[in-house]
Amino acid sequence: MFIRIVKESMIRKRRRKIVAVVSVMLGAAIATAVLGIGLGIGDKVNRELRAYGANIQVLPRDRSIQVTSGGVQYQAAAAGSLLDEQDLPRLRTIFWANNILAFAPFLEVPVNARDASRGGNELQTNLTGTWFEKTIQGDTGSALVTGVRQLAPWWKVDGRWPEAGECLVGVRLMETLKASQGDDLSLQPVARGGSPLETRLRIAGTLTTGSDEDRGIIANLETAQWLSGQPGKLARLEISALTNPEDSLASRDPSTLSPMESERRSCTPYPNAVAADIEKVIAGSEARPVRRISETEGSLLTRINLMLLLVAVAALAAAVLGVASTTMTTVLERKSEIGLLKAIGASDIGVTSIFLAESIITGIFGGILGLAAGYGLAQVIARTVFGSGVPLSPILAPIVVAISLIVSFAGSAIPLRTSLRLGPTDVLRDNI
Amino acid sequence: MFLRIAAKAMTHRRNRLGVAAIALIVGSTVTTAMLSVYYDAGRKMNRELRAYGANIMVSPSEGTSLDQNAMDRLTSGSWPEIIGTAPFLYVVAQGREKPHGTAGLTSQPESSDLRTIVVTGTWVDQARKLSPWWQVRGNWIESRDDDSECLIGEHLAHQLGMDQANLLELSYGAQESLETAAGGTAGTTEPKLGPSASARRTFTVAGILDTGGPEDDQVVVSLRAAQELAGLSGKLSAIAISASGGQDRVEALASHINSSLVSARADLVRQIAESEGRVLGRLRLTMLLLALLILTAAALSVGTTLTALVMDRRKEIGTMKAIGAEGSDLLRLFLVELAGIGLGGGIVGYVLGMVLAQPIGRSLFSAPVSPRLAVFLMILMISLAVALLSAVLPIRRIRDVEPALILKGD
Repeated sequence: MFIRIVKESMIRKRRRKIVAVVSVMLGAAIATAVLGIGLGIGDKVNRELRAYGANIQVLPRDRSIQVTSGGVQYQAAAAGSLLDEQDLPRLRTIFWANNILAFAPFLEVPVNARDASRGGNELQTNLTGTWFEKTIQGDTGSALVTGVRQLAPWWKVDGRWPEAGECLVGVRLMETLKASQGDDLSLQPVARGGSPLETRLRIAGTLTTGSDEDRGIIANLETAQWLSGQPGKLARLEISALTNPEDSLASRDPSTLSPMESERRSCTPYPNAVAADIEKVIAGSEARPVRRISETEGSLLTRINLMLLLVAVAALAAAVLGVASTTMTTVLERKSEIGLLKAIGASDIGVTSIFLAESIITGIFGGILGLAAGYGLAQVIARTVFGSGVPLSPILAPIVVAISLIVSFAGSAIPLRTSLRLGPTDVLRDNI
Repeated sequence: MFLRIAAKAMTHRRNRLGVAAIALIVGSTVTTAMLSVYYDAGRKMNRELRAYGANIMVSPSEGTSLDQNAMDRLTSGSWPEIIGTAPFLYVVAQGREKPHGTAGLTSQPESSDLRTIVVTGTWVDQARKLSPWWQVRGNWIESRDDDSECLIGEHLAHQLGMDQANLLELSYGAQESLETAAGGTAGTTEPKLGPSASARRTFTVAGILDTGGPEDDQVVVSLRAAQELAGLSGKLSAIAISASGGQDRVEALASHINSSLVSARADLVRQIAESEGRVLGRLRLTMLLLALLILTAAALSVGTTLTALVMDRRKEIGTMKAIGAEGSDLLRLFLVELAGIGLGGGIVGYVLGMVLAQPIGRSLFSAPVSPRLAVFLMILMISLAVALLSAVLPIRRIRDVEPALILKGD
């Protein structure tokens, strides 16, 4: 009997039910989308912030004092205090290997540069050797394409990126040299009494960064190693890694942590933890977070995540409100039906169970449909903004369905109580 | 008469209206808070991003030197976008630790070996504001006129074996002819001091500077001390500027500075300026899309409630029609009533929304969210539009109501 009433009500009053299900669905879809995005794009924002460049710098542990200012190195780094290039692939084997998005080695050599094509004046400047783009194979066979192009996306190259035997020249040096693209540069390392080494590099493009690189020459690492007579060496390694902001857990004394906290701590990529991990695989190195980037990024990320959370809560509130008000009105509309049921002898419990059963069915249906729709919506938004989908945590499904169920249930229970308080005659006589 | 009916309708059906009014108020509250935070996020998150440091660097153009009075031009207030500026003078000098107790003696036995060090002269108070990630173990140099103290880079201190309260002696030009870094590249026409004109100064180490950047290998002193050490009074190597605004505005500011300062050029620090624009753009787009979604949810809920409210009053409509009201009269009546609900709900919602936005703004950008006329008008328009649109759906039903049928009982 009870089941038949509910079934009949669902089928006969199809339009009304569709409206109810659609309203729950819309609410659930919006809640899913906003919650999914609010909770899921933290990682994407973190990746976006990586556009700021390296956040970990690796230097030789016993390096000499660097006498560099305004892009000019006043003293060559002393031999011996350098890192080995052959250690670099080992970065792909560390615990946080997947958090390393890009890295590039650097080696600076003071050189005398002259435009060989035009025969201009000789100028002292800095040649920086690095990787423009290089593929590193990992143990698992996954390849990482890395180099300055990935590490420093803000480098603006007018012309093209250099190949072997070519170089980039900073925009301000270009003006001083009065050179132009396609010219050959003759380069000699700065040494007392002149150096026998000399090389020629073709200018492939002009580099604009707004910092020291604008006054220097950028070439392949091999070129810098050969010019400085330090094959297989590098002076500096810059790494862009996904890290979590330092929080209260990171700064606490390890001995006071509970086992669970200490596990959570060891599984969180704090900048210092990633740096320490890197230090282990690069011989004779000292890895440190670039505080300018990592600290600012940390505080920014904390704020952005907070903002997204607040937005998600606001969306949830709006969605709950939408579903609740719709269910309330649908129950209020059916007051006369309630009166009729009571007039023919239905008990309060009987009426209540019919209505609540219906609300549960709408809640579940709407919730599931809304979940699917919201999932799609979240993907569309994430693709629009970040160009890639967002992974939605599976925990969202039970949460959204449960919320739509509860809201739809509570939304009908409240008006039901007021309706039941009225006698059958009130309801039937006067369509209040 | 018309107004009286509308007013009565609103005051008399209080509990029915309650649901609709609450829906509208909650909807406009959430939307107000979202929109206000969204608008402020654009401006105030920008301020948060400024913690990444200077986004414009001014340096002397080739073959010239930068004069300190350029600073006055920049800080004169003609560019409101400029949040902070700091002057820098880089000097390459020879340094060594000076044992205590011999500070008064000028002739020192050349015992501890001299090191070549980059000395950075700056207004430490300004540099610190511009680079909030600088950390000092010990004390800061509090005043920009303090010529006797220095901050020593963390790595340099380690190399020299020096600590707080030690004395550092810097000499300029005494060794092989070292050029100053003031011009940036080689080939500058900086006045070079001959070996004879050696300048020597002693500084007390106020603290150890840890930045994770090139400053770790440098000594930081006051600008005037660096200028006197190198004999370059009134000269600068660079001016760092932190400017607010999107990439376009910063770019425009850079070219503006470029054209108004002679013998200097302003460059956009692309690492900061470009990344900032990118991050901020993405964030704002996300916020906007989410705000739109929330707006849709709120509008839908208000719309359905108000539609149901109108539908519910078929009986009343029937009565009015029976005593001679026209369909258009009734529509007008409903529209005025809904407009009243919309405006009232919008205003109340705006006030509550601003209250809600304050703690959000404070936790997000540690500044209160400022009220905006644009947001207020937008909320009024939206709630009015939603309220009026919710009457559009049942309009036909209102027109089709047969008074006789309704009064008889459905």
